[in-house]
Amino acid sequence: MRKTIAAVTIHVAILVLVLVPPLWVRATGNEAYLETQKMDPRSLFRGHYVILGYKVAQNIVPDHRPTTPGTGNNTVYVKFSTVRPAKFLSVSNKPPSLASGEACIVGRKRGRGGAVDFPQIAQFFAAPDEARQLEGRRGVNLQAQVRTDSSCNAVLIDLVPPVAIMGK
Amino acid sequence: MAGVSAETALRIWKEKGLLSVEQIEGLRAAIAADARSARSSRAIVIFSILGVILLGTGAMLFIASNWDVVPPWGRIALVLACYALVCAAAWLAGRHELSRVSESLWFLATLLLGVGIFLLAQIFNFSLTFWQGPCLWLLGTLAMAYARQRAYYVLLAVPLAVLTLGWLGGGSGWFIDDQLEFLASERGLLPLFGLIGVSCVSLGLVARHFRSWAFSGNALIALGSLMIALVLLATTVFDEVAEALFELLFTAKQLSIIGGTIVLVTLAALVGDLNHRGRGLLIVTTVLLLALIFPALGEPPTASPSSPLLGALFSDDVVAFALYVVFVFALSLATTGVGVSASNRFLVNVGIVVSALILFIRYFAWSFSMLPTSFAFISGGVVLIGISVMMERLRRRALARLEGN
Repeated sequence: MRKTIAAVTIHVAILVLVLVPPLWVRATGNEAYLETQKMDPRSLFRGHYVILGYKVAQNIVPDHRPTTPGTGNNTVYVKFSTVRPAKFLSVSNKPPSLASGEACIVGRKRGRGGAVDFPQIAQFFAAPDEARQLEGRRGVNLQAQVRTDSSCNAVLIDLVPPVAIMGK
Repeated sequence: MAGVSAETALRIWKEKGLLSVEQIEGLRAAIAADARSARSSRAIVIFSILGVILLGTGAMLFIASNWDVVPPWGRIALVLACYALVCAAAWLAGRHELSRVSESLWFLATLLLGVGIFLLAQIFNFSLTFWQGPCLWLLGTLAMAYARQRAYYVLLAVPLAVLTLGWLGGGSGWFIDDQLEFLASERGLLPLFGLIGVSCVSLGLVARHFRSWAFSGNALIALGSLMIALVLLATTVFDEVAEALFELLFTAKQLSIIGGTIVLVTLAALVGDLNHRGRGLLIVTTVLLLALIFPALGEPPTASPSSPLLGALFSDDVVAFALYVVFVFALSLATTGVGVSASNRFLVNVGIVVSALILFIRYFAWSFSMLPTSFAFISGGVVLIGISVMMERLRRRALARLEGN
């Protein structure tokens, strides 16, 4: 029974481990609003969710095929301002140093259109009807509310309309 | 006495005067009671597992249908409460000596761990960048497998390990690119699926050597041999299959898998629990699968995929392909032989089924052009009946020898 208790402890530790990093970034990170680029409500194993691209991450790296996964490094760090909506500042292979009003997100070179994906905030889970509505409001009509920490880890909080539309 | 049933053995011993009538009746009653007990315990396991699946599905459907109306902290509490409830039920069932029900519930707890990982991540739109989710679930499965010492955890752990390995290095969040690339692309796992099967078999042979992990040995060998059989069988269907299937980019991950397989096979050959026939079969299978991915000469690993040397040969030369099919057929018969000598029913069945399917596939491949004629049907019927008779006799002989062993 001691082994089983140890296994259950490992299970609980795993469940906590899943929660702690995003909650930490959510609680302590800088807030930014990124304009969404495209969406695709599809699911394979995990129910309904929309897949997100970001305007701030388009045409920012040379347009060539990315390094093959497993043979090199596709990781890049995208720095942007925290004004709403966020403006692209720079892209680098190492985590950048951040001044006040700046934030960064770790991304992966996609290789088409010089674009970068943000795997940590690429999915927004929603009910099927909500997912369809969100797809209709894509692009400048929809911004992603994110929080990022100094290591460029990011958490997607919500999808919201731009300030101007909210005010109407 | 090899291949003799219990009833025949009792008759022989009675005729030789080795056992009295009372002793024979006592032995017969003991055998009958044991058979009844085995049948009823099997039924309990089936009912428990079915019950667990129904309960788990019902709980998940209930959660899913109310998921949107529950706030995030409520969702976290729901996931943890479900897990705690199942663990408590498993513990209680164990305390009341309902061991099979208890084991089923511990397995359900492990399934709920996986569901919990993905639901918790979903609450905060955290993608887990794909490989992390299966990897965490795999760690939890291995921990519970070690604790409960049950082979069926292997059936969950192996697919999770394949998913982890496949999704490692991907994870941009896109549908085709990352979720299916690990199977579909030349930089994925598909060309190495057979070698991963060899790794499973080798790991099983090594695991049998260690008391704490011996429970996983047979299940790993069974799953691994099934993976190898599927790959080899697929390559015998058409002469172009091997060329398309084994095209790979020799990425760092693929090279690591190849290297890891060689290390595991060496380890299994040196310390694994297997006889000289089994060792020979393992090495020959590994060499065959390595030969199948060997790139055509003059094609160093680059950004474009290397076409396999043997695959290209099979596409061009019908004799080479025919020899390859004969070799795979001989390998499947050898698997049956190893299954008999190692008293492994699963290997016997895999060997027989694969050899029968090879004959079946070859018959259809070679008689396809004669389909409009009656000759195809007549010869087909004769061939199939012949194969059935041969396979049935072979299987019966092999299983009888197995029982004797």
